[in-house]
Order: sequence, then structure tokens, then C-alpha cells
Amino acid sequence: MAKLSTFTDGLVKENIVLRLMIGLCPVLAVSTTATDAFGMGIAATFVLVSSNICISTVRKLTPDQIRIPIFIIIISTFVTLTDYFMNAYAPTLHKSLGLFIPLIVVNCIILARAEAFAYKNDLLSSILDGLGTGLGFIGAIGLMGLAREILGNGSVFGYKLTAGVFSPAIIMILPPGGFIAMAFIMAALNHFTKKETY
Amino acid sequence: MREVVDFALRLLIICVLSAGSLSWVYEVTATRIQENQKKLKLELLKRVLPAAERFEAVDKGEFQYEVGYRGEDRIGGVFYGEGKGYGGPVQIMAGIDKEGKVVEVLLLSHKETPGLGTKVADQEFRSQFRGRNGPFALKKDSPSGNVDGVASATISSRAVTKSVDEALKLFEKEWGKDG
Repeated sequence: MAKLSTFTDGLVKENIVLRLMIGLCPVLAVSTTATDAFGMGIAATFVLVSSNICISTVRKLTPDQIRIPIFIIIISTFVTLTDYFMNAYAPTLHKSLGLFIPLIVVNCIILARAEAFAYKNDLLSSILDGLGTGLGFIGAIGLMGLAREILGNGSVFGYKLTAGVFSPAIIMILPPGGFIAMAFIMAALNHFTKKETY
Repeated sequence: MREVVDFALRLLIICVLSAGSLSWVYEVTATRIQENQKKLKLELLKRVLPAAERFEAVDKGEFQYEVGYRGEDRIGGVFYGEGKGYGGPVQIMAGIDKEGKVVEVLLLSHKETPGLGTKVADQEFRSQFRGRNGPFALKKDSPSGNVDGVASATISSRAVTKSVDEALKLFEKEWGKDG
């Protein structure tokens, strides 16, 4: 049972973006279209799960004093691999995500899970934790991307929706729109999930 | 002292593993990445100069351009231009036929405001250059201007217009010489 909750905690209860509010930079920056948002979510999840696997595997061989450089080397290796693969097999996505792929290296979500979880737990739990946190991240950034693309550009995954009926609110794909969308999504999540405890 | 050596060795092993796997994946993906880039470039060239069958790059040091061939005939060139936009540099490529008329203009990269400045990348604005000789200038900027700027995006429109004009000037400079 303990195993299962390491997975499900990351989805909603301890959602990394909407609850813990870390790793917001890519969420705000690359959620202007649903395609970019899901692409970013999947790339970050891949890095997260792979680095969790590696770090958990080598945790007994990693002395405390040099754990951070070792984490960073492992994480940046997977980020660079993702960068190469995406450039080779999904060049359009690679072009629109641009600088944000290499920046996954410094995404605090990944380092946080490495430090707080994978370094202290066995392989299976670390995989589950990575998957749960990653899916939570995909969900949050994907919702942002969908909301902002529909409201700000009148399209979903690049397909036009408005049919000329209404003109989209440009502000939603500008930086302020990111904060607005995030606030509404967070408020809705709190409304539907939180028990009255205060 | 022993600890230092121990740490250094551990880090070394991790680094070697990391570098090894990276270079392996690089080998696997490098050719594909290059093919993608070539394909993408050819696609763009075909869009700005559809009449050409093949392109040959010309490198002049300060600038590069492509000459489009149909059979053995030089039917036009693709020139690049850069202007200062609202959010940063705006890079364009322009296909120009041998009479010096613009065939098509495409934006290669820009950081203009979504929804306002990005309209300069739309057909409506770009089509103003099609089939016309230079020099180009915004109607707003000079009495002899011939290009309508996009409303609330004058700086972006000016950047594109100026870079198309620049591309045309390069064409005029280059085309007479050896063609």
C-alpha cells in the first residue's frame, strides 16, 4: 500500500506545480500552446523518471558530500539525451520548446525529487514517485496549455475552434495570462479537493 | 587525502559513463538531425522560390545566399535580411526572381508580441511584397512608401519591410556581377 501512495500522492494531493508550487518557470513559459505544454511535460517526466532510476541505483555508492555534483551529472546526461532524441525525431517540437529543453537541467522539480526521494528510497518506489510526480506535472502544465491556447488563440493543438465567432483574448498567451490561468486552475483544484480544515 | 581520491574516482566514473552514453546517442542521432535540418532548409527555400529545382549556396563571408536553378538557368536567388523588431531581431528570407521581383517572403525567427507583432508573419502582410520591385518602405515612414504596416505593430512591420529591402539590395549587388 505504501508503494501505491508514493505514486498517487504526486497526482493531486502533492501535485508538484499546483500544490507544492515548485518548478513554475517552464509551466508559465511554455504553456502558450497545448502541444508545447504536453511536449514539455513528457520531456520533463522522462528526465525525472530516468534520473530517479539512476540516482536510486547508485545511492549507496554516492557519498553525501558529493551527491549534488553526481545528481547534476546524471540529470544533465538525460536532458542532453532528450535534447538529441527530440531534435532527431520531433524537430518541430524541438524548435518551439527551444531553450527550455536544456533548462530542464536546472528545473528544481527534478533535483528536488532526486534529493528528497530517490536518494533515500529503493528503485521501485523511486520509479513510482517519478511517474506520479511526472504525471502530476504533465496534468498541470497540460491544463495550463489547453486553457491558454483555447482562450488566447482560439485553438486546440493547433486546430482552430472559434470559427470566427469570438476573437480570442490575446492576454492569455502573454506572460500575465500564465499567472491568471494558473491562479484559476489552483483555485478550482482547491475548491474541489480540500476539506474544510480552517 | 584518501577521501579526496575516493570522491574524485567516483565522480570520474560517473562522468565517464555519462560521456560514453552521450557520445553513443550523439552518433545515433547526428545524421538524422542533419538530414532534418537539410530537409527543413530545402522546404523553406522551395516555399520562397517554388520555380527553382535545385539550390546552390553562395558564401560571401559577410553574407550568404542561395541561387535557384531550373535546369541550367539561374532563375533567382534567396537572400536573407535582418531588422530590429519590437522584441528582438527579426530574420527573414526572401525569394527574388531574376528580374528583381520578390516572389515570397518568410519570417525565419522573431520574438514579436503574440497576437500583435506576430501578424507580420501572416499572409496578409507578407503578400504585399509579392511580385514587386523595391525599394520598400512603410507608407507611414515616407511619402513614397508602398507597404501598409500592421495596425499597432508598426515597429514589427518596419523591421520586416527594412529587412526585405536589405535582401533586395544584396540581390542587386550580387546578381549583376556574375549572372
